[in-house]
Amino acid sequence: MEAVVIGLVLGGLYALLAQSFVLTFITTRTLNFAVGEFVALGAFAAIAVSSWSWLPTPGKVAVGFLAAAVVGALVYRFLVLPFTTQGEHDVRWLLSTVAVSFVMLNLITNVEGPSPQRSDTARISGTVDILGAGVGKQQLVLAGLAVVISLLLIVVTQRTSVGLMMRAVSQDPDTASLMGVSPRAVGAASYFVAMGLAGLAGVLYAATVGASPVMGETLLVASIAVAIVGGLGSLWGPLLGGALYGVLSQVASYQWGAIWGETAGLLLVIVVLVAKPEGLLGRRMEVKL
Amino acid sequence: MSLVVDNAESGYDRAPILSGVSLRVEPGELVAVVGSNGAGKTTLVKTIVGQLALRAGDLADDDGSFAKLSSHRRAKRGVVMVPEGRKLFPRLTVGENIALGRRAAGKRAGGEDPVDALLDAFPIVRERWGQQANLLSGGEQQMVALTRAVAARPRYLLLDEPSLGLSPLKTLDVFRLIELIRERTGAGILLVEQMADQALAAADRAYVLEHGRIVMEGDAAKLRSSDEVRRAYLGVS
Repeated sequence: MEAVVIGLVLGGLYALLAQSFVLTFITTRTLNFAVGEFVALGAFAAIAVSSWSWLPTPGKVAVGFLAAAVVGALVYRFLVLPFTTQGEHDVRWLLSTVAVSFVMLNLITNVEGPSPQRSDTARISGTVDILGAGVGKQQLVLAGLAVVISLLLIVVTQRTSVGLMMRAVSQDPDTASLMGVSPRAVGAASYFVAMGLAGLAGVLYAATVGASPVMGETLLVASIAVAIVGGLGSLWGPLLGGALYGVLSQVASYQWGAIWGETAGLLLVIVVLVAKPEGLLGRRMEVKL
Repeated sequence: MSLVVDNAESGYDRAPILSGVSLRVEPGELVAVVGSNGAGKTTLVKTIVGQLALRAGDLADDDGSFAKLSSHRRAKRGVVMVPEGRKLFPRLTVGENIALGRRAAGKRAGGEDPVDALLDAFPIVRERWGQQANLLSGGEQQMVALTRAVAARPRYLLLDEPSLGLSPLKTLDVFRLIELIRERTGAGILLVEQMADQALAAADRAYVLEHGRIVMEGDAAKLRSSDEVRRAYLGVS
């Protein structure tokens, strides 16, 4: 039971990052493989302003969000968009975002050094007892945030005019531009929010493990796995995927040892890809012939 | 005050299609472009709305040249297209599709809404309001696509093969709707059609496009009765 609870909570962190993959995929059909570095960027941005006593904690968290969000929008404009211009089979963005990942990793390491730094912004210490499992309040906040943000994104896309524009661009960007909607602006906004979420996750995560350049990298595989299991085309996907992946990998590592944890999670990905390639909640892509 | 295509050249990477195409559409006028398959009709409208790059020549509306603007800015200026195959957003409802059309209207919105008149004349669109667009029949989809374009408050409306894939009866409906749109919006309409006979019957003026060039132009009724057009496009020997 303890493993299940901890798995669910851990799944929340993955789900938050998976959401940023889903968000950019829905509107631009691209994934930013540098998400891990945006996690670190958010964390270090919050540390940089941690001594500003006039800025209350939510403001410092917001700095983490905004730093990653602004860089994210710029990365989209200058390093993703130019490499998607050759039609739907143009996947040069794969290489350019991986390159962004390396460059950012090295830049952050040069500036901040490789060793983890303590981060106190938005730290909530202590644990709560849930069904016999001791869960850190900080992790609980992260998991709760993943749920709240996912629900918020779903409401925004389903109920607002901005969401309507997003869905239109997602279904047919060329026709959306005939309606006066700029697919590029919608894409940049998606990257802004998606990378901001990664930065936000970074601030909160760093309060438990410290900020280091590679802090996001370790989460990358799990969050891509979560996004794929849930389905890259669905905002509900990360919640389901995160829960399944988190619980499965925790239970497996309790039963058979830590090495089986991640293996079990990745086996889940393979099973899903074989049985339902679009993900559990995904929608089959219509292929134009 | 008109939509002007001046000496336009465009096409795809290794295949230039249009060369030296010039035409104009006045507000309130219905202008047909007829021509056989592959003559460059779709290329022409795609170039005007910015889905294909203009390689030479110029495009202008009442506010001057818009040749350098991106597609969504041209829509906001009131140069609106109904693409071939209708291209409704398949998983949005009819109402949402039409709401998206309104995005392009911007400052031109206000006054009497021409969409209401269309919905009154063709109540089927209103009946389908909450349905997902891909569940509609071809004819209904074309009605929605035209209504969506009118919601954008077009100053110039480009229609690419609106009768494509429709039964003769539905085609008649579509032409009635086009006539109503002209009346209610005062927009200049450029109608690209393979159904040359019906297009010429409805239009004021017409251009004949062949191999990417305009080979004839003039009064639609006169073109319709000319021997060359009748032989080439109306299946009369």
